[in-house]
Amino acid sequence: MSTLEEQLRDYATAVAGRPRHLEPVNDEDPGHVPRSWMGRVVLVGVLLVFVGLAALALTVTRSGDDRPAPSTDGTVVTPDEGPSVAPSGFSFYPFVDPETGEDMIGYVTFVPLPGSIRPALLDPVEVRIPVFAEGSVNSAVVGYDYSFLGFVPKRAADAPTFDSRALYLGHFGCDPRDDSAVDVVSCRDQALRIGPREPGS
Amino acid sequence: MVMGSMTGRAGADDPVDHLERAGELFASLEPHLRPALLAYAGSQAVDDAVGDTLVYLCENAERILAMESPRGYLFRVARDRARGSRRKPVTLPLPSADELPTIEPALAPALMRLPRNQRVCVFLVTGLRWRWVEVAEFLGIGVSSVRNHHRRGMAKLRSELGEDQR
Repeated sequence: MSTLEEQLRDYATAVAGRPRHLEPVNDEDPGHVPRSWMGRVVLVGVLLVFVGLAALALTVTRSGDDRPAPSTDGTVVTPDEGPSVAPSGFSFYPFVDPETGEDMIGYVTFVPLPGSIRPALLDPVEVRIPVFAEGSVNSAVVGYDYSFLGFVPKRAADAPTFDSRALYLGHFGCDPRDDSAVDVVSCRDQALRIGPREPGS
Repeated sequence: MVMGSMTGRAGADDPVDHLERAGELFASLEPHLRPALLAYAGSQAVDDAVGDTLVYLCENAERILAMESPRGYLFRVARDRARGSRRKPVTLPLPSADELPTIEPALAPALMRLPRNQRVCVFLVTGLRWRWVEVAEFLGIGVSSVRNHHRRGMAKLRSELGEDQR
C-alpha cells in the first residue's frame, strides 16, 4: 500500500518525463544510446550551434525558393506570406541529464525572426543523417548532419495521416527509404520516424 | 543537404556569443521548466510555453543575460506564456492502471482540482523532490509561501483521497 507521498513521486516522475533529446541511431538496438558515443555526440552538438547559425543565412536565403508546397496532406508548407515568415535557423545545445549525469544534446528548436509565425503554431521537422566513419552503414557512427525541412502546421504534424516521408520527398526530391542511412524524426515525440526500410517491406 | 560550414567563436559582445550563452542558460533551465510548467498550466501548455520562452530569450539575449537573475526572469516569462491558456481547465496526464498500478486513479484528478500554486508546490516538492527555494524561484514567491501552499495542498489531497491510500 503506497502512501500519498509515494504515489505522488511515482506519478510525478512518470508524467514529468525526461528532457527531450536526440538519440543516436543504432541499427542493432534503436532504443539504446551507446555511452561511448556520447562525448562525440555532445561535441557534434556544440559544433552544430555554429552550424545552426550558418543555417540561418541558408534558410533565409531559401525562403524565396520555389519548393513544392502541398498544403492539404500535411507535407511541406511554403509560406505564402513571403519574408514575414522567414525562418532563422536551429538551436542546438548540450546539457547534462539531471537523472543520470550524462552529457546529452538538447532538442532542436526553431527560432523565428521577430514578426514571423509563432513557433507555437508550427513545428520544425528535422532530418538526422548519421555520418559513418568509413562512409558505409556498416561502419561506426561518428556524428550527425542535420538539415531543415520546412514548416509543418502543428495540426497536420499531430494528425495520424501525417507523412514525413512526403515532407522529405518535397524537400530533397527523393524517397528517404531509398537511402538506408537516413532517419527522419520530428522534434515532437510523435510517430514521425522513418527508418531504413524493413526487410521484406 | 549539409547546412553550412562552421565559424570561429565570436567575442563576448557579439550576437553569436549571446546566442550561445543563451543556449547554455536555456539548457540548464529547460529540464526544470518542463515539469514546473506541467504542474502550473497543464500538459497542453508546456511545449508552446517552453518554445515561446526560448524565442523570447534569443530575441532579448543581451538584456536577459545581463540581469542579476536571468533564471527567475525566464521562469516569469514562461509562466506568462503558459498563462494564456488559464481559462481552460488544467489537464494532467492520466496514466492507466497498467502503467502505474500503485497510484490511486483519483490522484491526478484531485491534483488538477487544486489551486495552481498548491498544485505546483505539491507536484514539485513531494513529487519531484524539488527544494523549497527552487519552487520559490519558479513561482516568484517566498519560501514561506511555498511551504504554506504545499501544506494546504497536501491536506486537500489527503482529504479528497482519504487516509487509506491504496
